[in-house]
Amino acid sequence: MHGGLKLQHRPASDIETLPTPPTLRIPIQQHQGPAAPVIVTVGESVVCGQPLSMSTDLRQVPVHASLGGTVTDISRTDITITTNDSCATWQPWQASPLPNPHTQQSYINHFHQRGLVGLGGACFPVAAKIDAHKNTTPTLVINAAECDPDICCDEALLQQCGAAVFDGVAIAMQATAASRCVVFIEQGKKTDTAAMQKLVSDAGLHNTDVVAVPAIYPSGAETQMLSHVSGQRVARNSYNTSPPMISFNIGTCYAMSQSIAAGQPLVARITTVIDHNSRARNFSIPIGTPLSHLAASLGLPDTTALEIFSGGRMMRREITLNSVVTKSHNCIEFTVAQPPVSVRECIRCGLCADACPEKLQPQQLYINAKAHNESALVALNLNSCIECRCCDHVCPSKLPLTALYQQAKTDLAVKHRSKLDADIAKQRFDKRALRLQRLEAQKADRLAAKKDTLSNKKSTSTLNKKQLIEQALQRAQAKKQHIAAPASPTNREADQ
Amino acid sequence: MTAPLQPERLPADTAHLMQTVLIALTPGVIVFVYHTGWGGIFNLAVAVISACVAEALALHLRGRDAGNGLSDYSAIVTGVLIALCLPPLLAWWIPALGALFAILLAKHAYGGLGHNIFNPAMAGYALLLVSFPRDLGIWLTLPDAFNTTLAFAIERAFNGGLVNYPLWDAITGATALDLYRDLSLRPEPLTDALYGTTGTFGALHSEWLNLAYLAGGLWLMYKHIISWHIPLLIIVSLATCILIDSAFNSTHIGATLGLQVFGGATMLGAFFIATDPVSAASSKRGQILYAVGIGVLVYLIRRYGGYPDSIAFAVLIMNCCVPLIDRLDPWWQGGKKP
Repeated sequence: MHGGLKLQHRPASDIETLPTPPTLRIPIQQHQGPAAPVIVTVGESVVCGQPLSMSTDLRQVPVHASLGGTVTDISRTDITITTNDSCATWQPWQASPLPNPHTQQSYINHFHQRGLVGLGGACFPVAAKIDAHKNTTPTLVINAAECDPDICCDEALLQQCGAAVFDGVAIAMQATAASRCVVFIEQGKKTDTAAMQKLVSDAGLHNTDVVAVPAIYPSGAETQMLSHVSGQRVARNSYNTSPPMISFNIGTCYAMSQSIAAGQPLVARITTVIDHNSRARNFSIPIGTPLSHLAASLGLPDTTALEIFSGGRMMRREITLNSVVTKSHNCIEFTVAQPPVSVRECIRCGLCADACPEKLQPQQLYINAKAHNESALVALNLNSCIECRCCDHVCPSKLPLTALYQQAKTDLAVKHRSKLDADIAKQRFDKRALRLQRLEAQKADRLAAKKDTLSNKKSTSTLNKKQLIEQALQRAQAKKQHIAAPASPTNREADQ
Repeated sequence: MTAPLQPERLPADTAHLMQTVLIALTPGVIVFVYHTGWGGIFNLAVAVISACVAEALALHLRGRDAGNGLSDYSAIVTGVLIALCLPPLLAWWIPALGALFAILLAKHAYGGLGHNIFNPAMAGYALLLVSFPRDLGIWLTLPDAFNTTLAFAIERAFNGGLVNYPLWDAITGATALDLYRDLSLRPEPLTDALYGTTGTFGALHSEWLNLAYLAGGLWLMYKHIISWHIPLLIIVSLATCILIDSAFNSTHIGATLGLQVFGGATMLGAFFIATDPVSAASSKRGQILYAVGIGVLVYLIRRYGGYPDSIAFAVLIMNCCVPLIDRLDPWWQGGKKP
């Protein structure tokens, strides 16, 4: 991997359980894709693991009640539940087990109904991912390389539930019909290559390699991993490799094994929570737990003076205390608010280019993004930016580079879409113009033909004028006779 | 392939970066002051103060926060670099003029820090070099080591410098590169000793200055402020040109190489001037072209041009090419036209 940042990791702590939250607010849409229709009503009593929304479309992932209780409110975005069971004793909702025989389609339906999404942070629907690779024998890539220095939930999961995780890997291999599996880990973690090999052999996995990459951020990013496995450069959003590759985070594998072994839907996730003293703890948190409850159970002092971030130190995004824990939150950090840093001009020092794992020229991207120079941005491969924020971290002028790139990418996408629309409209217009032209030409042809025949008739008629007059007289005579004569039976019939 | 960056070894912000450059210049400044005495200190003070005043004035005129702009130390670096190029015992307004031109025209007229096309220090120095060639050509024969008094330095600074001093011929002489140039222009072949232009390993006297700059530059490299590409390629391309030239003219290859590489402003230029990130090419591929261009131009101007040293002109010429080099870069990378 090119560039990157060498950062100091936190040691993983044990997974703890939170006190039961009095209310849950479960967002209906937590994944990439549209939300599934809600199937519960206000006042309905739900048990833990009961689906709150359901759909047959694989992109519309259902959500489930993380704890038992009563539905008290359904808004456009969330379902609020007043809980009545405790976190410590909750029993998962017993759903139907995976039907035998285990076909790929049965796995896809099973994972879809249990609301499984990628737990690495991006929340891509698992069922849709497997479905997209149906009828192929992909390489399965398992991401255990947790490269953000602050996040340690995957490491804690490996240490405590390693066997279950690798059961999940075995399930994933079956479900994806993968021929080969590559497990990615970072060097220097407590679960090292030997420990991983042991877990692999305990789970009875075949054709499985453990690859330890140097602990350099962002070695665990999907593009970096897939480039490493395939030996070819994999660009963002176009993973067209041969053989195809399909990647899952180990948290997702654990969720898969839970969904098969206990029929359990995705109702809780393991999240690293960092308090204001910068102490990291791992919690198994029911989805929909309000952050205020999390803060209260951590014993945080004055929450109004704190800033809350999700997503670890590098990819972090500010969230508010009103938010809830969703399937995407692998890290939640409460920090004391920092004074804003003063931003200076870019001095073109090039540290960003040294740090960029995608070998882009962040400095050139910066000036062209500021100048809205779209052709240059495309030439500089803006869309390969994986938004790892290495450039933000090394920039001595403290420029918000990644935010600018995100904006520029959105602008480019909008431009591209409106250009497509315009192209379609233009095609339609051109077609219509052609059609009108054709019709006009046909009309002109018809007129000309008619004129032609008329003039032909005229020319013939001038030659035999007398004959024509005679014919007309004969016709008139015949008509007269016809009217005067008694009507023939056939004519009467025709009249009737 | 670059090594992963370790955040604790990276500059925290622009001000810290400029401070690190100033610290890296310290060994060079110490040797420079040993060579030039009070005159050198006076030049440094005048250039730094004028640069800071000009920076504050320019920021004020542009409606920016002067305090914030000054706190990035870039004006101080420019002032120091100009003073390090100037001989001692000049009229006071010469370093001041250089610094004012550098900050006001070369830097702020183009949009301030980060937007200047030309290296401000070299633009200022080039102005002085073409405007006052006689004043800037007078260097002390021997290291001063504070033999001249502060009073004399100040008296000269306010009375037109050493040029207007009747006895200047006694204490000054041409620099090693100047002497070498005179020698190499003569029809007869060069003698063994190169007429006293060489010292232990480089040019007489200025070899130690170059060694000090080299040390500071290597430290900057360790601190990730500069990469190895520009300094190494300037030195390598300059040395290659000299080796080819010497091989054909069969003169003293080793001595000439030492004289050129450890003489004049070679090390200062390679490590502190050409590496100015604002006016250098931005990509590593572009920097290779930029650095080789500087090295070859330094050789060509020193060998065939009208000036004994040529770092300033070589850097300024390649600064002109940087926008073009930057535009060509994506084309080299992926065959796509920008």
